[in-house]
Amino acid sequence: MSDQPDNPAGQAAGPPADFRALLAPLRAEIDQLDARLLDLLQQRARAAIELGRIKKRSSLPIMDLTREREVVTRLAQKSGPGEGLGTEAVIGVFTEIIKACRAAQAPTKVAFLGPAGTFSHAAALQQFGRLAQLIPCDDLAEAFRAAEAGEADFALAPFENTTEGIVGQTLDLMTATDLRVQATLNLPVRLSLMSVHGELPRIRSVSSHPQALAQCRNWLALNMPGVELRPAVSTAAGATMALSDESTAVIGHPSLSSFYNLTVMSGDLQDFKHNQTCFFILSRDDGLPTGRDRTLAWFAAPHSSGSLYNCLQPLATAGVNLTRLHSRPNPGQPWEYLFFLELEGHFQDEKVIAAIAALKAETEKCRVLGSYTAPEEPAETSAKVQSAPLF
Amino acid sequence: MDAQPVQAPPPAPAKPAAKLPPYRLTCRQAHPEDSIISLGACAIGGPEFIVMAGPCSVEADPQMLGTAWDVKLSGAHVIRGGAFKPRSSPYSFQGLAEEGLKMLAKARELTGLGIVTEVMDSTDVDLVESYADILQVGARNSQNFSLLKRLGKSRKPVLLKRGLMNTVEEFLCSAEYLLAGGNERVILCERGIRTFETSTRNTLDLSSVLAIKERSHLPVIVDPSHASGKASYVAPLSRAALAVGADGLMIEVHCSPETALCDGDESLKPEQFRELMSSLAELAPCFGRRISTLGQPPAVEANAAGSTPKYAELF
Repeated sequence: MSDQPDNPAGQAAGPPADFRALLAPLRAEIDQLDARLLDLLQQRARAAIELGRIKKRSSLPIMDLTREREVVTRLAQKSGPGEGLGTEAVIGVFTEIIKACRAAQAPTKVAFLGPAGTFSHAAALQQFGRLAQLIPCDDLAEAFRAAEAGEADFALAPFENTTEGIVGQTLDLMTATDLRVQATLNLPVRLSLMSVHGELPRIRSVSSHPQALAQCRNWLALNMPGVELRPAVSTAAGATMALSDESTAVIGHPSLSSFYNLTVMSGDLQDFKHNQTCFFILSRDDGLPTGRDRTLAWFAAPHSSGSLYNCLQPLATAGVNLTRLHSRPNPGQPWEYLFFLELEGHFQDEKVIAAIAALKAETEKCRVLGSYTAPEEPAETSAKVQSAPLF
Repeated sequence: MDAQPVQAPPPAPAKPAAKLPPYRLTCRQAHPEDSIISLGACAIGGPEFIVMAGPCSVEADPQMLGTAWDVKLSGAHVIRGGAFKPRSSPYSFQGLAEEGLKMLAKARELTGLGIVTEVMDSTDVDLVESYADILQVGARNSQNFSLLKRLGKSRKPVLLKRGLMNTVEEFLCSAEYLLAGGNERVILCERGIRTFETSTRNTLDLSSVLAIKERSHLPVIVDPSHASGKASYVAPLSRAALAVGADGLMIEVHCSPETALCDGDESLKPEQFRELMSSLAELAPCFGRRISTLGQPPAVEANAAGSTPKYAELF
């Protein structure tokens, strides 16, 4: 809203000349409310800092994802329909407040797979906000190392994509680290078309990572038939190409636009709308039990008949539900496989302790990688997404 | 259409005057070459001898996942497992339904192999379709025409078992329902018929493979487990099926047959299955076939090679 009326003639024809007099008291009220909001926010931040001190003394992790989600959900439920701010707006505002207060407790340092504008970066921003110190790393191993060495509080690693499947490198790194999985994060893969000027008719070519181009194949064929596709080493490198050439657009995460000062021309281009990537948030601390936990562990099984069955049977006997099982060839031992399993329950739960103990009796190599809160969406949808047709 | 022409020599052209059989689309005159149905990484009906293996019914995670892993390492192409079980007696174990389908989905995720599972009722087709890669019609449903009509509209391949009292012609007429409905990806399965003989559970009618091959272009596999009802008969009958020209097998394998809730007597142990697979792989070239999945480190190709650079760059 502009302070100066755009059209002076409108004063005479439109509402009474003194409408400014009507705005003045409302503006004054808003200024007062802002002042009170700021006071309250500062008060909240002070309480959060005190909470942070107590957490530090009792060596509890600063980030309690479950508590944060509870706070936001409770507030979102309070804001019924017909209120000034809708549920989405309330969630957005309070998520930012929480991130700001968490940053006030201790500036969080997060190592992720760079450069800026990648999907890992978007996930880090979604979880930790702009106030956290985000450290881009050249590869995943470097992100793990930074968190292990204490240079970062958290490392962020992509674990599974609903279209492309498991990220093998993350699993391989997990077998050789002391870091613990503390939380998981689902990031919908959304791809936008961006360019310097934002004018579609001037675009002659589109550059991006081949995977991103492939995921938008149908959209491109329908909306930009015949456009030249220019593969790049990453979506961020595609953005650099778009910066240097005005007739080139880039496909990537919408957050690329702010890092490279690009204009979004079209959003949600991806052909599979349910495309999601699940990230692990790793740290040196363990997550606390919440009652809706999952535990991740790995074990080795020899290449012989019935070996996997023998390892899994004790888990069933202990009454623990198995939610995932993945296999990776053991690089050191030909014909041996490593299995990554996800169980229901926290690793401090009695049932899980018993199950892991029974598993350890079957195999020498077995390790718990951490516990985290189960994802929110119902299990049915995830199972069905995984069952995208093989043939 | 996934059916493609492979082998060049078509039989002598049918006489123009010859009357078409009642199974118009299923008969060989309609498609002189063998149909080849793509199953992801492999194809059935061509030179590859396809083996589907797994427990009769899905009972629990360890049993299903352990068996799936073992049969994968032994060289099986597809994992089988029943979530809905058509049992002769209503008091027998009836299957785990959707719970079992979820276990099959986990087995698929673990092994990367497709899954074949039975659908018993047209009302369940949507559910089973969302999990399975091949939909199986059991012997008792082989002439359930409303189910067959529904599956004719499906986009997944269908494995049709021969009814225990069906002639080859009736069997092919059942397949015709699927093809007439628009689903050309049909695999036939001989699983034994009811005769006066009681020394085996059913009588495996191996000659029906020849009769079907003569009359139809569809691939045929053999299920020696259900036909014989005895684990010790399974391996010899499997080799006979390869020799007689079947395109593949469906075999029951169970990690602990003693505790199986369904058909434990006829299930092979994983080590027996591995022996059978290596003997089949050795014999296959004698009959112009091959089993290419055996002897390769199975999980390595898909996981280790591709993912590292690809993900490092995309995320």
